Amino acid sequence: MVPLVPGFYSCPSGARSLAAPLGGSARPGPSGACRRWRPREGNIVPPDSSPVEAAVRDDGGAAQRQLALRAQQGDQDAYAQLVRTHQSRIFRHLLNLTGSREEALELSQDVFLRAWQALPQWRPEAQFHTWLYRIASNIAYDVLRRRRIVSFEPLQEDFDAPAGDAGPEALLQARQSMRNLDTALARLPPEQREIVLLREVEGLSYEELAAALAIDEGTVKSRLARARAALVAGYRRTER
Amino acid sequence: MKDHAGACPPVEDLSALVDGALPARDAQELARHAARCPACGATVEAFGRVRAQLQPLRARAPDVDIAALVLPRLPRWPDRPRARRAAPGWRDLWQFGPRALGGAAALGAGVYLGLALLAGSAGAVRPSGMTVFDAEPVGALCAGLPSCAARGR
Repeated sequence: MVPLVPGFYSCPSGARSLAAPLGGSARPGPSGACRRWRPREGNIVPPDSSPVEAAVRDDGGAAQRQLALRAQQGDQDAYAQLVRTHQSRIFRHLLNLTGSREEALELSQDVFLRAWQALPQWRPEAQFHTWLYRIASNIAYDVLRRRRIVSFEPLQEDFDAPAGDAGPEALLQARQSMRNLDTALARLPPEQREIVLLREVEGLSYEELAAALAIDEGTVKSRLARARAALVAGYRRTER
Repeated sequence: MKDHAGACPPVEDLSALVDGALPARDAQELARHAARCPACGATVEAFGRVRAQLQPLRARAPDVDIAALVLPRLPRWPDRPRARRAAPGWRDLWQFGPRALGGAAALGAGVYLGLALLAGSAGAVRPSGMTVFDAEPVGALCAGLPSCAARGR
């Protein structure tokens, strides 16, 4: 069988497995082989949305559309509401993408200034938040192209690492695992890093990803799969 | 999607399975395969765990109100590019009068000067400004270096 992610399918012979928890050691099953994946509720569902983003989705973007139409006519109050609704997600995405808080703050301002200038070209058929992500993507790419090495802001020590039921040792391991994943993320090519972040952190659907990245859904599917495989592979390298 | 009874599916399908982006029937079939196949099961498991590990990144937030920084910098309405305008009607054509007159005057002057240059006959009107194109310098004070030297300059 050809490995799907090269180098990580030696599980049955007893070597490290992708099935092992990231950040932990391989856990052989009773027979010595790695435990097998079982479909269960929770491991094939999309990521959650934040309350604000959920509200944006729940009204089908209608309120956002109305605000954008008013802003298009020069209504700055309407635009202020749009900025306040979307500023956190745009900043967060740019911070995760560039790795620098100062740069993300500066670029976020650029995004909203450029969006105001470009509002006459916005069409109501487009969702406002995917349109903003597209502008953010273009602006961030200009920056990322200029610098080839991304130095990421380290995760804070009190970061809420998913440690589960555990004590200090497991918490420490979870934090180390987060740091390794962050390093692996920083080493991905920008287009892979971007699609992983938009999907896993921002929770965009395939349709929204296609609109935000100006690619078709088939390309979304393949690019996302490649990015995930590269991230897992990179993560394993940081563990060694 | 292919039948996964024997061969493993492409990684794109496993990734789409994690996203719940496959049709129900395909997803069930692929999930059955992943439950049997250690390699595919491991891949699906790893993709799911990466997602879980990335969720803390959602907590990152700006520590300032970006709107407060952006809104004072927005250009006011007259400076801002307007939405696409409708084509002007017949009643609006008078606005183009001065521009049309200016354009016609410039065109007429160009034609006049062009004809004057091409005519080349003695009878043709020769604008004084065209003397700058003559072989002899303006004023004929010093046609060349030797003649200047002969005058002892």
